Amino acid sequence: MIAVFHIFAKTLMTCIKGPHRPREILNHMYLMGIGSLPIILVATAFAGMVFTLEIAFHMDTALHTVEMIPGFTGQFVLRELGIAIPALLLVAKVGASTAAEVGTMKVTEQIDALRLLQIDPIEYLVYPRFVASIIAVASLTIISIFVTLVCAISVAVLKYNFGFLEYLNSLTQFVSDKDLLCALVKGMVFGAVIPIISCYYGFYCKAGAEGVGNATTNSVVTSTILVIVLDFLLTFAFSMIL
Amino acid sequence: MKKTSNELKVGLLVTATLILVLVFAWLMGAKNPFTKNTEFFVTYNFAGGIEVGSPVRVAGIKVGRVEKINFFVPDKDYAAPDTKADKVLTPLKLKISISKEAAEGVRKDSKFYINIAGIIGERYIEVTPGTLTAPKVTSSDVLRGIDPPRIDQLISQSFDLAGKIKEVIEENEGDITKSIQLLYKLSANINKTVMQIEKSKMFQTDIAMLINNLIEITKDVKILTAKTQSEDGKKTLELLYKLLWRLEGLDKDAIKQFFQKEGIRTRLF
Repeated sequence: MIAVFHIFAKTLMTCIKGPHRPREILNHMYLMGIGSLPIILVATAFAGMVFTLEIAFHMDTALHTVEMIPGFTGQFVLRELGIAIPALLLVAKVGASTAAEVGTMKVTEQIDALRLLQIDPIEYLVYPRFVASIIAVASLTIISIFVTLVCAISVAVLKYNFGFLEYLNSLTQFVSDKDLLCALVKGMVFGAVIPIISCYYGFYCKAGAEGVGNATTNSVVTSTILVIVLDFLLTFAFSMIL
Repeated sequence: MKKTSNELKVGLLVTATLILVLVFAWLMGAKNPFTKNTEFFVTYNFAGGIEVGSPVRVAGIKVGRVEKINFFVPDKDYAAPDTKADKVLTPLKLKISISKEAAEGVRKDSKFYINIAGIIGERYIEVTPGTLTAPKVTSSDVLRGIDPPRIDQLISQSFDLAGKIKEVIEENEGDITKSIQLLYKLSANINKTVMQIEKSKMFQTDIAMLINNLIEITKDVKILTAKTQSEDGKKTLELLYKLLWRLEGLDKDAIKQFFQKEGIRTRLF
């Protein structure tokens, strides 16, 4: 636990003091952002369609009207669905690969070699991933919200005879710029969690292939739980503040 | 080449994100720094669920929103000359921002109602355009809004009323009980009487006969009235009137004289 805070604090210090390693950041942004874009687009698109169908079914059953689809869908997508799905997918994809990569470096003594070369492993391995992940997850969150909403609107227009402008007008009655701010902040926090936890499990990986495998599994499990817990805490905090 | 391509892709990703953020912010009604709005204040004692961000509509069209809600503001406008302004408090002072175009129609005598829209009851401020002769609303004006009816007050008043009714009942319990008992007895007596009438065959027959006779009489009267209204009837009535008029002066002596003239001996009366 203390080691996690140590890694986090040192990463934050590097953010202020440098070295900033823009090339490394860019490479990781490409791997995390562009590399994860297809799976996130597919997952969130279908999630949006499924959610619209579900919400319409329940509204029709309980209220005998589907008039409120835009409001409910918009709020849920902006507050949860569009944020949690990309974050959890990135935990599975990016978190696992980072833990495995850093773990392998630890097992093959590459991290020790870095120390011998007077290179701080946190500065070299964690910091670029940390910055890249924050930007990439925030970007993917916004894109996934857009894609989810577009798919939700498509289902509402095609199946429930909503007009496109009617849907948008109704949507804007229920969501505000504060919801967008919440989504961005949540995305950035989840983006910060993924590399810190993954690198921690990589740094403290036990020897051998089994050690790397365990580190990867533990990293994904811990990151997933942490994302869900932080999601609750942030939602609670935003409901109090905004 | 590959690195340039990667940079380009990352750049496109970030640019797309920024564009989407701007689009979302515009859709969600974030304040546009390039448009100038008119901001003024509306005061209420009770705002009925209005929140920061609630829409403001002029003549039914959304033209702005509630920017800020201030609580218990010292009100100079309502303070008497010899009173300190901070002793007169306005419970709610809402800062409202509407587009310049819509502000043209909002006058100082415009009414600011708090309405409810939709099935979930979204609150908004409805502004009715004022009269043309009234001055236009300007920035920082403080206008008085119309408080919506308070459901909690209505319930409270109903509760008070129910309490008073209960009090009256409790205070006059004896009288009310007696009255109810008397009413009960009366209804029981009426019931008995009706039952006796229903049981008595003779009474039933008599009533039936009476009703039948009444029906017959009514029919006759109807025919008679119809006949008197006809031309013959009118003539007959006229003749009868004349006859009665002529017979008015006829007494014992006159009749005797008449019979003597005719050579008839008779004993009258």
